Amino acid sequence: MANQKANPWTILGYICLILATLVILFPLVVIVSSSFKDEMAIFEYPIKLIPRHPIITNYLQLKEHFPRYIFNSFKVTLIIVLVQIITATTGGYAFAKLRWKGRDLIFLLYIGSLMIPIQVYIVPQFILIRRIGLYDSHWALVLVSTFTALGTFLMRQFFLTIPDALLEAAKIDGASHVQIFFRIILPISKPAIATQVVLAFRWFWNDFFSPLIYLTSEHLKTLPLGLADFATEYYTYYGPQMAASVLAIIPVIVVFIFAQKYIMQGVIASGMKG
Amino acid sequence: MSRSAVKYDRLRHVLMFLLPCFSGFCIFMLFPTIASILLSFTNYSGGKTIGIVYFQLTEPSLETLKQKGVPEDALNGLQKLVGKRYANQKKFLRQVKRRIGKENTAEYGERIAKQARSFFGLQNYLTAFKSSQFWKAIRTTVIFVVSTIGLQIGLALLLAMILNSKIKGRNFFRSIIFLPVVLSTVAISLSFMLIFHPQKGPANNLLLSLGFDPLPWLTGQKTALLTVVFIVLWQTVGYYMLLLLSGLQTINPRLYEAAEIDGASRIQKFRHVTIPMLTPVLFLCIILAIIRAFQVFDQIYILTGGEEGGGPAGATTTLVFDVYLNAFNHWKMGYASAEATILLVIILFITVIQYRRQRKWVTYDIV
Repeated sequence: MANQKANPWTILGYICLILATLVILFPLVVIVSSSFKDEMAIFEYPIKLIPRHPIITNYLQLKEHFPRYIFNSFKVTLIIVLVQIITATTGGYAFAKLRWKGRDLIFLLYIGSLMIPIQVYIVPQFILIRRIGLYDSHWALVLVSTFTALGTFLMRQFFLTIPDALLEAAKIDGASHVQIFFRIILPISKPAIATQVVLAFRWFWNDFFSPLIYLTSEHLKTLPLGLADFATEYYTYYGPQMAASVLAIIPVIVVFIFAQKYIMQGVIASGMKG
Repeated sequence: MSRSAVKYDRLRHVLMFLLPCFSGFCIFMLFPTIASILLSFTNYSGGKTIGIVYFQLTEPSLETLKQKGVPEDALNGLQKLVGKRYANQKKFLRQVKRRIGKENTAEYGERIAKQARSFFGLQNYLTAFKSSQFWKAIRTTVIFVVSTIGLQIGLALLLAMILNSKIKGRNFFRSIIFLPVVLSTVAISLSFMLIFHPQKGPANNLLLSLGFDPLPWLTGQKTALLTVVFIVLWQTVGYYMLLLLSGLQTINPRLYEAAEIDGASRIQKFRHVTIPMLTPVLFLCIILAIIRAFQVFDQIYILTGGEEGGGPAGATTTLVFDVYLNAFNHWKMGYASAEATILLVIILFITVIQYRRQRKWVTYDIV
């Protein structure tokens, strides 16, 4: 392996990786540094990645609406993640460990649903939500997200790795399915549940489409929707926009740093076994 | 165990575990998908009623009315309504009354309405197929999907191959390249609007300093779509890189050793070991990339014009964006549903074709 070092392929590889890293980090650095600049400094040429005279007025402009948006985003995201964990684990159990007629067919339907874009069924879903009087409420967002085909699928795949013998033994001891589910399945599924939590958190924290369709009231908007509307309103003011973007990005970056392992495992598991 | 020996669990237990997710699935996805197909045969416009019929008089229908005894002066009045379409009987008769007077309407209204009534049926589809805007959206979608997936898979494969070799800082590079996948599309799109600012953005400053002419990027008819493609790539390449990398890591190293013993070069190893062994993952990535490229919405919304949007002269209006515009901006929900159904058919068609064709190029006998 000693001659690997001088290998031109390896050097070329490093060049590609460094280039990719620069292309990826550049916009992120621009967001953060512009959030501390005034409008003149943002478009200064050549671009200064570290602001010479950092200001925080951009952040102060967000005071009025953004605490509300952030609160809404946390609220909606946490409720949805919680609901999805319940539906995904119970559903995964039904598909992995219970035997019933039509199981494989319905499971196939579930998997198939993953390829249908939301825009295909958004109109009737919207009509339904409006008819039951939940238009322009957080309940609309929660309700339409109660099921997760991907989450159910991930849970099922994990549950399949739990040996049936373990469950049979519990059954012989007189345990019901509910007891098996809570006492045996859930405790050993913590890694899979953690994966599902971070994947769902990331998805709903960033979700833009459903809030765009279902929310109109200012006090209900979630962060991505609030951010988009703010950008439309202040479209010539990039400083405040970038400050707001920093707020949208930071929670996910924090989660990414601490739960990277789970996110990547989840992505691989959800992709691989399709 | 023979098939008949399978013992089913009690329905009660099954439902207890299945219903929490399955009811939501049926109510908010399965049922709406079917409803969307049904809605595409109507002229629903967001109101309280859904019309599966419309009212429109034609020359032949006037002829029929003449034979049924509608007087000449009334027919002359109706002449002005020919070709005009009304959503329901009430609106139609109001117009009829304006043209032929109250008494004639009272006498012949029913007959005229019956003659004018037509089923909506395939009207939305016909309208779509005749509309230049629809074909433009299809064209934009095809260009967008093809260029996105080609570059996505190509770049992701390149990066995955590099990261799969013995290189220092693999985990660091892998994390950085994957990072954009988890970030808010809205926030990222906003930062790229700054970077691709048509007058003074850093992208144009870079072009100028390299001696090129500045580009209009998102505001140019020709450049807008490709700029969106670049931004979508920026956010998604990491995803496919990760999938392909984990695919590469499952390839048995003995296959490479065997190839080396046979004297295979680097390129031969890539061509005859890596690619065949990677085909299942590659196939999966292509399917996912196609499906997701069809769905891209946030970036187009934010980058090219919001709810009015779709870019300069509709340069970035893809099919899903057109569905959104028609449904929630113009309230042509029936028409939007027809477009949505066409989208569904296209995606199902591509997926089925891909699954059929995979047998020819995907290797499943993994060692």
